[in-house]
Amino acid sequence: MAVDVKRSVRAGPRQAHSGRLQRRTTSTAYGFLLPNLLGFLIFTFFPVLAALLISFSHWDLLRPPEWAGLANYRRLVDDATFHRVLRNTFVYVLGTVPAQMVLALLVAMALNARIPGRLFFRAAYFMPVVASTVAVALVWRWIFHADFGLLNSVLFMLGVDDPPSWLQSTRWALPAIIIMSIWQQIGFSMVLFLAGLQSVPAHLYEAAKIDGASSWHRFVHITIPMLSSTTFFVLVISIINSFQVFDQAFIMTEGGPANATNTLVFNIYRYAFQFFQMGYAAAMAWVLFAIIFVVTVVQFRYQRQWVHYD
Amino acid sequence: MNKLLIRIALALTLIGALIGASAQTTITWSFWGDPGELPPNYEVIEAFHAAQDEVRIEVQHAPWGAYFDRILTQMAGGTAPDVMFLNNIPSYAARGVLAPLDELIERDGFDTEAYHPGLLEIFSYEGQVYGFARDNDTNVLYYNQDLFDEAGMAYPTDAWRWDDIRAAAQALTVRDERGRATQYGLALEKNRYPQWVYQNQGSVFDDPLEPTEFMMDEPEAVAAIQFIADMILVDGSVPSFDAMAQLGSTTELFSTGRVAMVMTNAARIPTFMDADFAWDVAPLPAGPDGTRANTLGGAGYVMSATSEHPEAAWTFLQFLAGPEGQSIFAGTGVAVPASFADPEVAATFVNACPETVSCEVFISETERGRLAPMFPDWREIESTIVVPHLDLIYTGEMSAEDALAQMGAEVRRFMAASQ
Repeated sequence: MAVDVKRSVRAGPRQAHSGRLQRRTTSTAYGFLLPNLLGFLIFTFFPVLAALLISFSHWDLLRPPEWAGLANYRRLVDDATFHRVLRNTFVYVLGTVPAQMVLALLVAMALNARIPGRLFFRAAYFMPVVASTVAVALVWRWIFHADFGLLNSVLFMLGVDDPPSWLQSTRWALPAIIIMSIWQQIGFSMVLFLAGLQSVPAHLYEAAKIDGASSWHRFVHITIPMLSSTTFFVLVISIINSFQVFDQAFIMTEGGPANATNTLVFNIYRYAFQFFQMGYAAAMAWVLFAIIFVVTVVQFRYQRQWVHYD
Repeated sequence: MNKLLIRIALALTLIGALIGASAQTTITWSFWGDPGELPPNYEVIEAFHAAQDEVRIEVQHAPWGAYFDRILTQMAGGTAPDVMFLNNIPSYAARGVLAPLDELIERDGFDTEAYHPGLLEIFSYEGQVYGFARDNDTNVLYYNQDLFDEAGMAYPTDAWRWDDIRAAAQALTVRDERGRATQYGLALEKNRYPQWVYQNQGSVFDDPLEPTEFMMDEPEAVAAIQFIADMILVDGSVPSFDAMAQLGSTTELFSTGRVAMVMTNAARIPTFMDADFAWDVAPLPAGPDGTRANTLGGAGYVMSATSEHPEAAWTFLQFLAGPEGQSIFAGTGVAVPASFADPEVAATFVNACPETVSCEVFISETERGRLAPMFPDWREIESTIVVPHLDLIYTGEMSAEDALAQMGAEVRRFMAASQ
């Protein structure tokens, strides 16, 4: 009892003091968050809500919107181009994300070792990330040239008599864009993996070595689990970015030939800003949002089974 | 002391500006264009300012890529420029953002006789005129005389038909030891398929402005598209359109001597004048039965429906579209003036053209022009249905007959759904 009183007497003023401090700290924190939050509300949250409303209307920007109910969504069901575009986008995501992540991890491990010139190589692998996609796409257009391109010249030297005509072929244009995107995105994932690798404590490897674990076992039982939180982050970000692919289709192929490289965002852009069909474009944008949302939720749901935080 | 003087000077300028403004109406004129294309626009403004005192022109310029987003936003906000340079007129007229001109034309007796009737039509919607074309995007056949001489071949003439150009293109294609073309015979622009269809007596629609029937799957159009595809796929004398994204445009290919002939418009003349070989222009070849045709289409001037100064805008529009304004653009020699039926305007164009070039060909080819499709839904139909099917033909995955039959079915379904 006495102890309690003593404690409360001592705690009283301190608690009041720390409460005030905490309030001040909290309001300072909110103060710092405010500009970003306002930006998010004004430029992201409300437009996204507005887009949802627009998706239930016919709107050409110039005349007032007309309520359309579910007409835009119903139109999506029968739109063969939209189905093609959905398929292309999924193929693109499946084609780029896993390959890009595996290659990025391999590069990160190579550049984590003490090899000569590793700073140069790190910069070189990161360069495509900061280079403008427009410039990159122009160079790759040349690499993919059917007759005189670098890629087909190499293939020809290797004995391939009839190499694909890449961007000119409905079958090879999308793979060509996937190849370019993998090359372009490796750098970003690599930097994250490098950071992850460097935070793996060296004593784990030493202990494993003493126990006689082979380098493969060290990779599977130490590196992979210790990197799992990095891997999870890279996976989520890469998938979201890949679903939003636009520049490549816009610059390299304009979605052609015959819609072979048309993607969701490129199609949304065309309907919104070339055909002035804001309602239909907004409906497609919401489908894209729903896909990304579901995929991301599923990833967070299942992360517990393979991601370790410590 | 100095500061005081500056303030007084500023105040006086302001007062002067206010007085000036009260006596004059200032209107905005918007246009796109690369720096090289702009001087005639400013020349027109200068001439207009010199000709009268009531109306002053303020310029709103944006490059092609940024122009339409901006105009659209302004239209949506009711603050569009009073006079605009624009294309695809029916799609804007249908949305009520352009001022109809019939009444004004009649009231002031503005002379539209000099305009090709087709060019007036593409600036009309539901029978009402909404503007005037500045020029026509006429395609002619440019040919590299040096390459023809080297091959010992006669230059193209107006007697040429499709078979002649096909044979010439094959003869002028040069290949390396692996069979890759290092020089092509002929380069084309992807969106110019209507002129081939017309030369074969076909049509894209029964009526290019108020279509009821799609006609690209009829035998005449099928044969025309297959003819283009054969030159690309069978002869290899024409680069495929997707390859040109990498090789370069018709302009780049021709001016670097990598192709012997191109079909393109008058805007290329200055670039080609810098080339280090001799060249000239000839009419487009006639179809198999001798039918000659070209296409009509181009951008021009319209007035905003929400202009606060419609009378001032109309005064300026008449100047732009009248003989004076047209002569200034014709005088650049790089755009076939829309009112070329006015002999003076036509002569200004031909005289401004370099002496070595047979520029009268541009006029005679424009006279043969037929309208390309132009109605509100056309842009969507062309990019979502027509172009993807043409791609399948040009990549050799489908015959023209099969792809155009499919295209026809889809266009009909689209048109039935949008009614």
